[in-house]
Amino acid sequence: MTETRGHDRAASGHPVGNDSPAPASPPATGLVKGPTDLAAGLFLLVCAVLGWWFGQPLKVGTAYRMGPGYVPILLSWVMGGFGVLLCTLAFLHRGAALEKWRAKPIVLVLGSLLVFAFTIERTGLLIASTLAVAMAGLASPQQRLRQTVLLAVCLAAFACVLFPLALQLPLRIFP
Amino acid sequence: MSDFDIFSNLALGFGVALSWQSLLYCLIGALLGTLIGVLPGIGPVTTIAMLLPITFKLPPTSALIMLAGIYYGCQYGGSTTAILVNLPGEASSIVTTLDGHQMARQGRAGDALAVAALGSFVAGCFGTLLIAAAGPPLAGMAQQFGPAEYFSLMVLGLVASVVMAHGSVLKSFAMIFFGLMLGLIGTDVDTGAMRYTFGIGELSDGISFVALAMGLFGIAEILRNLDGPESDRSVLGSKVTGLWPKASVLREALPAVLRGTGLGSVLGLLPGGGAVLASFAAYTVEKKLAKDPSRFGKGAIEGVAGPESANNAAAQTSFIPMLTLGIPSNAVMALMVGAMIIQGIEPGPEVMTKRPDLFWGMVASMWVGNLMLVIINLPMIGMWVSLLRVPYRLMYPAIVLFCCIGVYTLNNSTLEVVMAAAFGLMGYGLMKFGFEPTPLLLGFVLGPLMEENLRRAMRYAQGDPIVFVERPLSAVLLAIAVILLIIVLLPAIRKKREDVFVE
Amino acid sequence: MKMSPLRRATCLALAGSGAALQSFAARAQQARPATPAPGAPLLDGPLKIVVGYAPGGASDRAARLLAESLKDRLGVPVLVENKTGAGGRLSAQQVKAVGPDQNVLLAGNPAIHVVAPLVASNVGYDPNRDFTPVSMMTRYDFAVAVGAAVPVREFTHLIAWLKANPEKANFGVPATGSLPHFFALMIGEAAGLKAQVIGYRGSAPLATDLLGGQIPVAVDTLDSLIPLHEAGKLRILAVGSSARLPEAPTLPTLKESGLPLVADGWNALFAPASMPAAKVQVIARAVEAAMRDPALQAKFRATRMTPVAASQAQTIKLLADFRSKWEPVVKSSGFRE
Repeated sequence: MTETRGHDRAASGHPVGNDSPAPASPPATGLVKGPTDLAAGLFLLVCAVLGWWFGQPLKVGTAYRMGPGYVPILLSWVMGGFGVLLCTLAFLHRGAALEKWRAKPIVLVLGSLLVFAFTIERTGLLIASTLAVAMAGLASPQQRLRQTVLLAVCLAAFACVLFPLALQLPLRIFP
Repeated sequence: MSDFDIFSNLALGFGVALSWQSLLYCLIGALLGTLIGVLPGIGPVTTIAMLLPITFKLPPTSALIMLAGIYYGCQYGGSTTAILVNLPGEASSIVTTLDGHQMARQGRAGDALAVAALGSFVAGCFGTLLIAAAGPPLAGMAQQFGPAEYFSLMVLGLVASVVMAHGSVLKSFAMIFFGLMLGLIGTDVDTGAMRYTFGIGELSDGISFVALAMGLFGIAEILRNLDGPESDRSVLGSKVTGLWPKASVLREALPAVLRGTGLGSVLGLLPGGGAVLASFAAYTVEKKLAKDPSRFGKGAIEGVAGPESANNAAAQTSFIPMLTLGIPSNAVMALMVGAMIIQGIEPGPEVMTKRPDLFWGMVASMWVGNLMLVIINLPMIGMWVSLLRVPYRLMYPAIVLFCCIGVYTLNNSTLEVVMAAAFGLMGYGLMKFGFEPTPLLLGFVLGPLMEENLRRAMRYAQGDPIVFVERPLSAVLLAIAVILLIIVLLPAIRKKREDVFVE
Repeated sequence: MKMSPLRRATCLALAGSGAALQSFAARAQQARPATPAPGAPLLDGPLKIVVGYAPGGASDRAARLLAESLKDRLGVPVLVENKTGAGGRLSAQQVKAVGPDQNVLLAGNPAIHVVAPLVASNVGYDPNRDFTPVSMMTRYDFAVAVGAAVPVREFTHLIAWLKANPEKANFGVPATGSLPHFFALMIGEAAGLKAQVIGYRGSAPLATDLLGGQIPVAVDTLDSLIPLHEAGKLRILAVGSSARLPEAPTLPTLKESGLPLVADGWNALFAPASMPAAKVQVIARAVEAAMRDPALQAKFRATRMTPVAASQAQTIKLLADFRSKWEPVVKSSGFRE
């Protein structure tokens, strides 16, 4: 049930031409044969525990009259089971090595969303869009500053024509 | 039976639908709908809600024709985004991303878009005929679906979504359950209790689907694409092979279109959740019936033709409960009911007899609308495909912006934009762990429906779970689910055994 | 920046469609009455009515119909904004926080102003302190209906049937914690039944299950049930009003059927506590005058809503009466979210 990294990527529709993503640590030898599976399993376990913990205040009820907590607690246990299973497999099966996470795109792209959220109601669509696009655009390694700024201005203008005016959505354009 | 004299009714309907006014509003609706559908995040619900006040001024038939046009126009537009940029605007386009986007990467976007449009048109024709011929009896049949049947249907749907996965089966299952959990967040329908909302008001109605889909599919995909050094190529991995599909492609797609149409027509009738399953079910059927299932997930044309026809057929037949009984089967239909009431029309079984011009006019205009959509969309394929040539560094900020605006305007909520960002991070992380987002989204969509129906069924049955196999329809559905599950698990178990032997 | 011919064409095409849509939108906007009635505007700026439910629903329709009429009376644009979520509570939270210089009203109803504060753990507003009642818009009645397959034709027979088949005493309501929910509990108690209340996500799924025979009895607003009743798909056995309703003269009241229970609901406009009293007065008078206008009343009735015209003082009294009647019921039911 675990595949090598190459098969995984092609099968799950990752960019075909993108054969060399972020540099990964070499496959761990020794105890943990499938580090990615272990990470996956741990993630599920954490979610299961959180689900169980925050589901405690809910009444569970009986099968006849299921309370609001019945299904959440049930699902938490099932997810925990999956987590344990995956972790066990990580020790038994050779699996994919852990991929590194690139911080710059994360910060910039997610940041652009947060900037938009913060500015849209305070400064209107035009400014919020410009800032968001500019920030997101900076995340690409191929970006050129002038192009990014120009793109931001153009897209913001286009958005201001399209959404509030043409589609009559309730968005303020100017602060 | 003069009521069901199809031809005279349709003649009346076409008389209404082909008037200049109706044609104009049909066109406006279809155009608007396509545009809305293309824009990630903004869906028919938001648009129809925005345009409701305008419909005060229009005559009722025109208003309803326009709103209907927006609705099924969105299906066409939504598949465009799903194919081009792997962004599902609505639950019905999730499945199209699986093979449709792969086809786009392989330079076959033209084929995918054309087959989606043509398949949808075929489905639309069939759906219109179905409404005309058998609307009320079909609505009556749909009433036979009680909570037990719905639950079993949802279970079937979830098992089907595992079929769709092409990575680790175990991880897909885990994602389904994770999605189910996420779907539980919000107010419990039965008791009114708040679950996992941490006192945040916006969460009391649950996580917004759009925020989740945009984050999980849109933002996460962008983050992953920005991972690698090669991130400036356009979405296209290879040369575009011409815009109009070859006859052989159309021939390949036809059986899938017909099967999808059949499935979608039936599922769309079920008020409250049937239409959502249409595309999943069609994809599963195609994958299981195909001679070479490994093609799926890598650009199999049936993986686009089937689901697209199914969701358009479901969109048409979902009008039936609304038109014949006045009971809306989804949020869009509820808005249509609102629009009818504003116009002074009493939605309900009497609409057919009291306002036949309205009823049959709408039915006929659906066919006209579908035709218009094909005529509008096919030539635009060239334009869409050329958009794929845009360098990625210019394309993805646009996607980010549209996601932001789409998510924000849904509920005027900046919190949801923040949530989309959080889901983007989560989606990125999930992919790093080897999970796939599709089963998560499917679990999320089906989870609340499943739970609601499970609990209601148990209440009615006084706590006796036998009810799920006692009721014939429910038993059949569960049996199919079990069979499907075995079919899915068998190769995985066999492979594991082989792996163990190898080691 | 050099643009390839293809990209230029693409931009032109998009611009073209954008322009087309814009002109459509402009045409639609022109269709709206832009000029107020002669005379100085009575307010210093546009008025916004916030509705806590999706467009097309009852509160939304009422607000929109009223907004059209208020535009002319107040001489300023009157907009309706939908802020859905938490059963209307989010809209209340939004309006509560509005400053004194803004003109914002809340389309309120019992769920927001009476029930939620009693059952929700952190409702985010105080219905008495944070809002000033302005004027009434509509009222609506509740009805008890059975599916076509249920073998009873009268309310008294229903009670007998439910007593004979206690496991069938399932009352469907459109939302847990809604007025129909408590009304169903009241009916059950008054009739001596152990009623199980089953909440749905709205009137549509409830109607579906009632029609399909999945649930025997439903309690919902009259306007939700009556179209299906007239088409014979379900049977309304009784209405919860104090006297027979003019729009449904054949339907007996609960009182006539042996249960001395009366229940109804309302939609009314509320101003945030921050709004100056003088402004509230102006708006209240305009709303009352609008609701008295026979033309507007006809429009309301055409959409099966019952218009109510009340002065601010009358509104305040109606609310107080309503509260005193329902608060004990809600509290004693022990229902909490």
